[in-house]
Amino acid sequence: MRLHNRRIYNLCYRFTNSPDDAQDLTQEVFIRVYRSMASYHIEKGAFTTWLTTLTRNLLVDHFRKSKQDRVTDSIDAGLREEDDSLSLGDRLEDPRPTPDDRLASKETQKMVQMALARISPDLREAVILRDLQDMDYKEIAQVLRVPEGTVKSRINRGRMELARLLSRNKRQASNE
Amino acid sequence: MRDYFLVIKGRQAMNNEAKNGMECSEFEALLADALDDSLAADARTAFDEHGKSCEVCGPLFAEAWDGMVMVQGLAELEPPKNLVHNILAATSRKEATAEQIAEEAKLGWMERMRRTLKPQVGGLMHSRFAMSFAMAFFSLSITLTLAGVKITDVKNMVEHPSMLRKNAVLGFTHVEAKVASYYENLRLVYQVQAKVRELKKNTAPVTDTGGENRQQNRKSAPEDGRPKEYENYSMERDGGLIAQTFTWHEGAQI
Repeated sequence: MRLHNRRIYNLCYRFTNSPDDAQDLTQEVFIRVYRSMASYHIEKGAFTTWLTTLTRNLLVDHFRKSKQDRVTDSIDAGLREEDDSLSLGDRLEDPRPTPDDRLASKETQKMVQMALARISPDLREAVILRDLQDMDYKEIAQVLRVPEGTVKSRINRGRMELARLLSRNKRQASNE
Repeated sequence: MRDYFLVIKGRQAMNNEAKNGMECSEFEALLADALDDSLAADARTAFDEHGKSCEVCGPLFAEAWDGMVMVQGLAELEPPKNLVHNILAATSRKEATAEQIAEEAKLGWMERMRRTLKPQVGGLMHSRFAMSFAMAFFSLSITLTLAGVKITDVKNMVEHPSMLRKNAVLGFTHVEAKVASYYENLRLVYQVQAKVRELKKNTAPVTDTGGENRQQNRKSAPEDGRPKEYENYSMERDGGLIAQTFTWHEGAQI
């Protein structure tokens, strides 16, 4: 449990964009693991894949319950809250290791997280599992129960959509 | 939504004409592997050549690359410190609950009921209150039994509230009929007794002792002129109890 709780928490947080929900969901994941541990067999696959599948199912249930929508979270609002004299481009391109870098990096990460929360759940989960959880396409296909080609397509589309969202906000930040 | 239409528009702009030995659909299929840098050398060369020459696929690769770099740049978060503790507490509680269920399965139903009731009505389970409740229940059950109310009637009343009035009327009528029947029987008994007494009086011979008794009774009659009743309960020869009533009015027997 101590080995996996960080990974599960990050997965939940990146998907829900809420620390409280992530904590509750992580707790629920391990309770479910505890209950259904007897149903796990090593022949079915790696424990990590099984655990990720269980987490993903819980996240989907949570998503359906909360009826979270891409439109509900506004990346623009977050940007206005965090806005200062530097544009996003300046922050990203500035290579100097100044004390502001940490803050800029933190803000950038917040923007990426908010952009991640805005893309559709299908694309989001594929991107998270690939780029944050370092799972291979076969494992992701097993977790999402879709063919590998679909997994790759979703990952590509998710990445492109993220880039467009961030680029648009970069332009908006430059204009303000 | 706008981004979605951009993707659709970009896909529509893709044509299937081979550029540098590769079609746009093929380029898109290899995009993920190219980003992972897992393409074979010749495939990579064709991929790069197509990306440079195709005005749709080139930007797609750049966007996907940017998106990947952004997401991979996200730092791993530290979970809250109490998370592990909460998980352990939650799973321990579940385990304890499972053990309790197994333990409770071995207990009798009385003990299980007592344990179930205890948290809610703990104070009421004291012996004083328990005895009061038992007495109240006993009194109520006796009253209901004497009134002719059955448990099935109560059950019907609860299950069918509309039958409440009907049951009440039927119950009242039933009790009324019982009372009327009792008084009718009592009246019949008195009438029979009166007839028997009359017959005995008519058939009995007249003796002086009765006259002397009447003389004595007349002497002790009240002086104020009001009638006075004397009741004489005595046993007849056959053992039956006969009630006799004498009423005196100024020396005349009615």
